[in-house]
Amino acid sequence: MTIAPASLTEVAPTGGPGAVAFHRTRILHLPRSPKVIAGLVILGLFGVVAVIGRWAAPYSPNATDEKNWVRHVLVDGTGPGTAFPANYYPLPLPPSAAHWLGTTVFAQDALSQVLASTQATLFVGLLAAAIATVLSILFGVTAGYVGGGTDEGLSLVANVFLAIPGLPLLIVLADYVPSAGSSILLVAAIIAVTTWAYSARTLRAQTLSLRNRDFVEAARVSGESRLRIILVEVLPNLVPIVAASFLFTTLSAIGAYVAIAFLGLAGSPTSSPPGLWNWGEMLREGFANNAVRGGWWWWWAPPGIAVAMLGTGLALLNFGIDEFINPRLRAGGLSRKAARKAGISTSTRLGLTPVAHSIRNAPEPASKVDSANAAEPVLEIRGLCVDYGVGDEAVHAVMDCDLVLRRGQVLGLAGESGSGKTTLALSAIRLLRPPGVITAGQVLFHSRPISGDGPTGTIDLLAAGQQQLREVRWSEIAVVLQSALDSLNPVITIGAQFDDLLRVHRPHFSEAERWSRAGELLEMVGMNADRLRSYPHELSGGMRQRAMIAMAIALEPQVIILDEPTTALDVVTQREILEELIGLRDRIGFATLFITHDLSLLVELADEIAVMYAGRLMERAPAASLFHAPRLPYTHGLLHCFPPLHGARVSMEGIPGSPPDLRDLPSGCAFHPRCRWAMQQCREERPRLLPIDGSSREVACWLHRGDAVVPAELARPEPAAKGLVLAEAVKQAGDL
Amino acid sequence: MNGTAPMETPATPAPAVLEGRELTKSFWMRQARGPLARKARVHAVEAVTVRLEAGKVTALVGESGAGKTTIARMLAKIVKPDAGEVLLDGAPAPKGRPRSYAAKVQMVFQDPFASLNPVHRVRHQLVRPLKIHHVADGDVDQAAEELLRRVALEPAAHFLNKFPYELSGGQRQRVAIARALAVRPRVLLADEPVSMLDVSIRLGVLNLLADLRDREQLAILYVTHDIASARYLADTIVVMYAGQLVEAAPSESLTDHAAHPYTQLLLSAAPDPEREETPRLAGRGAPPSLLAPPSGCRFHPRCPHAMDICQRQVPPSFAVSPDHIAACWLHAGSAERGAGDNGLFRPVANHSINPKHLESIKR
Amino acid sequence: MSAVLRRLAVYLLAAWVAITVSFLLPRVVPGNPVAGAVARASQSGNCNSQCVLAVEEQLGFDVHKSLWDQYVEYIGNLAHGNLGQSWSENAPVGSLILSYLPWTLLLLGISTIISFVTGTTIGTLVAWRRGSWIDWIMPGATFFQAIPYFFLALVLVLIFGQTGTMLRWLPSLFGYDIYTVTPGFNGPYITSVLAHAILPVATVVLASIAGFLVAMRNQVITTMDEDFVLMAAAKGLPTRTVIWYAARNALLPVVSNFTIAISLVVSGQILVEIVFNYPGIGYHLNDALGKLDYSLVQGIFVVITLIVLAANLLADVVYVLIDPRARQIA
Repeated sequence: MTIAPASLTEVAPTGGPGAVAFHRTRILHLPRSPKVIAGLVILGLFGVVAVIGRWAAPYSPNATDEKNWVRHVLVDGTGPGTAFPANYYPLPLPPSAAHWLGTTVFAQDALSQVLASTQATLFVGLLAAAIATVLSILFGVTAGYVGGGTDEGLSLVANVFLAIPGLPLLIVLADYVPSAGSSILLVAAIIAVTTWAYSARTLRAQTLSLRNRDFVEAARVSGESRLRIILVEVLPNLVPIVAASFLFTTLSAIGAYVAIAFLGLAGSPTSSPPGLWNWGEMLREGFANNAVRGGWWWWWAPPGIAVAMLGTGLALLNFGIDEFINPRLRAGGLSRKAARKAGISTSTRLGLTPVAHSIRNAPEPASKVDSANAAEPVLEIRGLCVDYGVGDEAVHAVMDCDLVLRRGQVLGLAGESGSGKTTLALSAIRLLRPPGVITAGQVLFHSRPISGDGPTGTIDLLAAGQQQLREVRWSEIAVVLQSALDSLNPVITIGAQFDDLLRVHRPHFSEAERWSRAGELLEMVGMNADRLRSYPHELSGGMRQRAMIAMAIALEPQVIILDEPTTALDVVTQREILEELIGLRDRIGFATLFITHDLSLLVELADEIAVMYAGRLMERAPAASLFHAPRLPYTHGLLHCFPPLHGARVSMEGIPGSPPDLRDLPSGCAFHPRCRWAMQQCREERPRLLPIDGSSREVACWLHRGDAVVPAELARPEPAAKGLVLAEAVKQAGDL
Repeated sequence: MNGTAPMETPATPAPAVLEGRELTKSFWMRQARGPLARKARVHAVEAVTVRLEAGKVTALVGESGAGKTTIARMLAKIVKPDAGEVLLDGAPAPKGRPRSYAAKVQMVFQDPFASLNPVHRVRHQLVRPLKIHHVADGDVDQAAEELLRRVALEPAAHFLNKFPYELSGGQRQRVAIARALAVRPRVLLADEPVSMLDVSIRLGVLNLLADLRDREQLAILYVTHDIASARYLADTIVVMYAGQLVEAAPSESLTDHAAHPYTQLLLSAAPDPEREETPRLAGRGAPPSLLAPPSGCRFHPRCPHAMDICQRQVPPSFAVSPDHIAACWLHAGSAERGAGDNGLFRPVANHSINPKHLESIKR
Repeated sequence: MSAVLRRLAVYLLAAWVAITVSFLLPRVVPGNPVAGAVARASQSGNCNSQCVLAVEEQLGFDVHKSLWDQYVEYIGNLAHGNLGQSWSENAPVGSLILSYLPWTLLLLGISTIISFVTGTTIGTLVAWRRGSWIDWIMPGATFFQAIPYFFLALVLVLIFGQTGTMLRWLPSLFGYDIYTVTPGFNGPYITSVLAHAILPVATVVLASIAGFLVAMRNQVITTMDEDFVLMAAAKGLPTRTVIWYAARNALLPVVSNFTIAISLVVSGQILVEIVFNYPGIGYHLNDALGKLDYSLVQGIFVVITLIVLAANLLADVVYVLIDPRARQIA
């Protein structure tokens, strides 16, 4: 049986560095949010009442005092002055000091009943949930782990139970099972039978995704027994899901218990054999004895509110677990108090990264590389600083970065994961998601549209409003991200996505024009125009990325930002797409900011390369210079991390240590712990990115300052000017 | 020759510790999502033979979907082959996945973030295999620390108490390798062990594997999509394409004198700043769907030298040189050509042949 | 195609299980259910001697047939639409249920549609404007989600109902004003029916809306983290298009979890009908339970199950229509 395992609590089984779900802590660590605390407090209160309520109640729930605890009202037409002897009917008393929740029509104390009822209600709920959870673990984990025919059979059973409506089945069961009402255990068992299937399905799906995770396979490869794998390796990872489904089941079990008690099927203290006091029973008595018509809300409202409060407590706690399981649900990662202090709205505004400083004109970058043939700048980033989070908890992801992208050129931005390269690029165009906050800097876009009627002149993107940004976006600055599958809307066709785009930016196009323009664009990237009718999932990875690039050039933008556009692709496809891109650049003339961890790729592709490390730009140079004559020890090390395809095979060392944690950066130069030439000064003082005398390049390294002796490896002569390899090849092929 | 090709094993003096012979595997995959999903058959691996020798690293190179990981998993006996057999020390490996097999063949997975159980400390991950296999019944902590030292994680005692989320990617992968080494295996199957790591720490892990090969005479399978790293680490490289083996040779011989058109394509696509002349690939297409793979040689739709016979028959492995084989009709010896020369060896019309390529093949 | 058949098989199996359970329970439960049932019912004064006879017959006590033969007969009758005879109403169960059904379907249809549409819409907005004051909807929604349907019904009756004691704005008893209007296609009747539906619909909507709201909010928040939504913003698309991109995708898991939702709504509505004396199958289920009219109880249970299964099937079809990835079933 292959039933969609999609469920609200399911975790996307993503591996890789993105799988944050398990990073935070080990088994279950509830976020300390007001919701969770409120939930715990509510549940704690009910727990206390459940334990001591029966004894703490002022009276016995069964105690009656016909004389004092009801109001006696004379029936009309009886008593003195009539032919009939005085006849009284009782009316319950409203809340008073003696009876905080008033009394019932049977002259009983309502508060005592509510307090006494808590125990049974909670007990049945928890017991039923416990039984259901055990059942669902047995079913779900067995089905998910064993798989095959067992899975098909068990899933079928669960799905059948899921499809049969719970309460009617419960009613039928409770009605037929003799004296079910008097046995609280039997009631719990019956409720469990009708509520386990949902959790079982969720757990099965989760186990299924865990089963194929590498750590389970690793345990199997190491010869671990099946039972131990389930108990020790798989089950602990299911704890959050089990906890969530336990709370969910408790909530439904209490609801079910109250419902069947309301129908008189769960036993009452007055039936024989007598059952226990519970909230549903109170509601039933009230309803059956006209408490609604009489307006005696104090009789039936408290138990109902108690159910709702208890349920709210459970649900609030469940929020916490949901946020643990699915970190995306956490409030954007921005602590509200700290954000307010910093003057940032925590309200989510997708595509409008908050800027937390009064815009100042950043000083002209100290280094103005001005060779005669340098093209005019199109995107200037000055002194950009970006944090994740605000206040004390802020992590400085990008610090004081200056970068200039020139018209028609390819600027490569290289760095390892966590170096801040993607953060830098996305925040420059205000697309960084929360908790990202821009804390300083200026991003100047010198617009001179290639086509269309986009804005002209210089725009500070960090000062721009939503409307101004919208005019620039895509028509002048387009973005391509790593995974095209994730970047394309999965439920509409490629053609419809072009259509949405063109309709907004080229309003004068007719529908037919939009469609034919989209077809043209696809053909420009080597795809058949028929593909417009395809959905993203029907295309291969390479095709999707081509479609994405076709979309990026649709409005002939001045800048395209490419964030690891080919990392997810195979080498052959990668190369083809890069060729395509360079060809388009030559035709249209856009400038490209190309972000990648693969320095060897950039060397073939870029005009200029900037290297980032731990949130800072460390070296910037023309591609050939950077490759043949690196000045920064880190760049030098990085270049020696790519084994060559030619020549003798020699042992290479890479770079010792690992990239630093941004929360705990080394003093001085962040690279010094891994640097083989580190000096005392490197540990104490941070070098600034400054030009090296007499060359068109910059480096942030003490070795090139003052009278330090520059190691031979970092003092190679600049190479003779040489064209870009890939661009050259594309051009030649075009000439042929 | 109906689909499967007999392998001519190149003359190799050393006996294989682990050998997968004619391994074939297909999977049922869900084709869609939602309540009405259906399944289709994916032909993941087709009759591939791989030999691992003691003290040698054999690299399995190919693009995603080439079947590399499936082969590693079949050798680890996590996945059962549809056909073919796994030989341990020349004898058929025992059925199922007994502990005696686990004690000799171990695996390192691609994603160090997924291959360590997030809820257990490093100690647990290392101690379990030690206990299962009674490697160090006395002082398991001592033995676990020793393992961490072998993979250069110091101070070892400090790392024992860490949870996986407290470690960096490189450190995790070292723990994963230490776990595999715990049972003192003779074979290590490493499935893309560095592809998820940061560039600057990849070499460290590769050097560790090389070190284990040299010091402990491990037979290592290095699965990778990066042919340059295969050349760096491996003694022998086996190239796969769409589930079929296309070429196998000592690593330098393979990268310097690639005989199969696919290997040549792969090499020309790899980033290489130092190459003399940048080739242009434009429009060489993409790997085929494995639901309905092309007939004959699965590379023929993308091959500039495709001939009639390539569409009809799966090419067997031809010896290009004594220890270099290529599964390509271009390398068919004169005997095969004579027997089959009935027009099949003529190039398919719509492909032009780059004479330079052919020259490099004939070399 | 096999996948469609498989899905159908699950529902057929579920229907069969429901039918069999309702057949078997009274017959295989240990002890003497008749005595127990009669004892309970006579305590409330609901069961006379005629009732005892009927109960015995319905529970298969004076039938000298094997269980299997009874079962075959039962299934055979069901197949012909014959659900047995109700002793309390002295009419065929089938036709009784047919007369109750329109009320239930009216209530269920209107309230589910209102609840789903408004719930998902509000959920989307709450997710979109996360971090603003609108977050305060969430604890409120949680509270409403936890309120039992029938309790909410009681509160609404108390406040707004004519049988309550406070505002007395809206009718809160029966499906229409049985004293002043005659059923049929006439203005007063239709007006009366609609007026009487307001409070029950409001109850079901209020009680079920939070479920859709919370589910949709969580899904939209999760979806907003997807790259394609960020790309929609990067493309300079208008905000409503960006929201639509997120909501359209977030809807998929909400629809695929419709099974749980509809089951809860149907269960809740049964009790709501009881509170309002609304003449649907829920109200009559309770009535039949009190009168020990087991044929009617069984019949209603089977029909409710079939309604839920039909709703599930509908949800499956909708899912396939809105998710192109699920449509690949050529």
